[in-house]
Amino acid sequence: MNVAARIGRLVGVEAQKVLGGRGLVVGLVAVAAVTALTAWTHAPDSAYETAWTRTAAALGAGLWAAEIFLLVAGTTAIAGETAAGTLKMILPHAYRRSDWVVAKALILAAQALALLATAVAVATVGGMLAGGLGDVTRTSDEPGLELPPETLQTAAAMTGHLVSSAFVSLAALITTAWVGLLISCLFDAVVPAVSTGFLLFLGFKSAGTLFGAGPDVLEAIYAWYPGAMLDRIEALGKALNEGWREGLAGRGLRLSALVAAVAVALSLVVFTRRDLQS
Amino acid sequence: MATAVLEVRGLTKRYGAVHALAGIDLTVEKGSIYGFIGPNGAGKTTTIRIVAGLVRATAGDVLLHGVDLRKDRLAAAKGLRTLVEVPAFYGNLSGQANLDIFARLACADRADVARLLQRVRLTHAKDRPVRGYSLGMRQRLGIAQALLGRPDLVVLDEPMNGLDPAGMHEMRELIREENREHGVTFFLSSHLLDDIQRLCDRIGVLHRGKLVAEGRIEDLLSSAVTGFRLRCAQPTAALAVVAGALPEARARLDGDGTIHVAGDASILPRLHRALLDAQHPVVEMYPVRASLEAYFLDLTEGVMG
Repeated sequence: MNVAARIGRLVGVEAQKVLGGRGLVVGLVAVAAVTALTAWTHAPDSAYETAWTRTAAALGAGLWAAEIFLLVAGTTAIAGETAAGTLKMILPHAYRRSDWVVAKALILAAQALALLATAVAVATVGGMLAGGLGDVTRTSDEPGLELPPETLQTAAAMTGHLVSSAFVSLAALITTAWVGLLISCLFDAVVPAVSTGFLLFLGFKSAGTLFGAGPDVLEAIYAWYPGAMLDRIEALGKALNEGWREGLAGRGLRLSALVAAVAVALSLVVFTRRDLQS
Repeated sequence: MATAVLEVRGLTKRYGAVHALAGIDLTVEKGSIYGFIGPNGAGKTTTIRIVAGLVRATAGDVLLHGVDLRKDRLAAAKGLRTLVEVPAFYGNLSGQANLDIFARLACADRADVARLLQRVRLTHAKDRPVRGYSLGMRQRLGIAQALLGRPDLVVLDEPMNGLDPAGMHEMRELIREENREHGVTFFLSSHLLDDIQRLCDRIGVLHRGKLVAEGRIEDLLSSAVTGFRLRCAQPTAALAVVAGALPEARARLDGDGTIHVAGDASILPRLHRALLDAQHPVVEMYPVRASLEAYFLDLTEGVMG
């Protein structure tokens, strides 16, 4: 078997395991529930609130839930199998350890895609139910002056921003899962792996508070871009005098790609050199 | 000439200052059942983990069908199946789903899954989640996964663990059948010396990381003569002669009318001369060999596995 065939076979094995368990279903339900609840309970804080602001807020909440799920899925991907003893059952077969790492990374990416698709679908439905995802307009409130509403953002432009945010979010979710995978390669037990994952996550997310890191530093060390893009969609949806930051998507994708590549490369190095005693 | 399926050359594993394996050499021939015995901590599981590719050797080579495991793992491990210690499965999946996963890994077809489920008597439980299986059922499922896809070499670490006497009998039969009918070579470690003696053609005895004996069981035991049993026309009178001439041989008369004397071949000239001089010629004589257990205890300084 060549490398593609081997990885393809292992992806099939990993898919069989994921689909046979309840973890992914729980994750999908949790993401759908968090997104739907946020869309439903989102309290407008200004008269300019629109379906777009509701959609952006709901998607942001759903992505947060997806990120937590993928962090757990990533950190337990190998540590969980080591702890359960299944790794010693599967590794002796005629595959390279690097094949396993790549297959696990691909399955995590597929789970990230499924979770993102769920969050986007539910958030979009939430927005449509809240009045429809149409043009963002502003009507003059001057007494006695009846002017046609002014279109600030077309529905097509807003949809484009949302799609762009979804792509960057997918990259950020995959990155989180792959950083989790790297952590998973370092431990033989689930609790230390998940704890390390959450500590790292907390450190990145709270770097501003904990270490006084400024926005520039934060943007350089972690994929904040999906959040920033959704904030921008909210602002545009409120018809505020804001513009779309064109550079966000590219920078977000570049940072995610860099961190993800480093995480997978280190996972390959660590996992292929480890002795498995348990 | 027999072909070697597994060759271990100078295998060494160090954990810091501890030498888990101190340069062991062994050969497992195609179609054989090789028993790997040794006290706890002797290095059996470490050896198996290295062969399985779970642990890297500090030095030495493992060749499977002549292919170096370290240099070309994909080719070397093709026909290799292992079961290291207690078998583990995906508990939320059924026995059948678990075997399907391992069949996919081993490129085995689904018919093989059904055949092996039936062979290890788990067809009735195949749709139940494995987390509800007893240790014996898991052990049987573990053996089934190790036999998927007609492997060349199956490495089993304590395969009888958790099995009741009927299960152990069945397991022995399964191993014999796969060996005899399908030519599967087995390399198995066990604490059950009786099983090893009944099943294996050759054994290797590991002690403190060193292989202290290796070979065919009969050959090893034939060199471990503990005494002789002899028959004379007048056993009581002959016993008195032997007891007088060789007091260190602790001669005794057993219920079947034979005289048992302890000692190795060096006592034979004096024994024969004493009996001939006393007009009690030996009618029949055969050596008494050590049991595998006695042989094992002797080699390992009384440390039982």
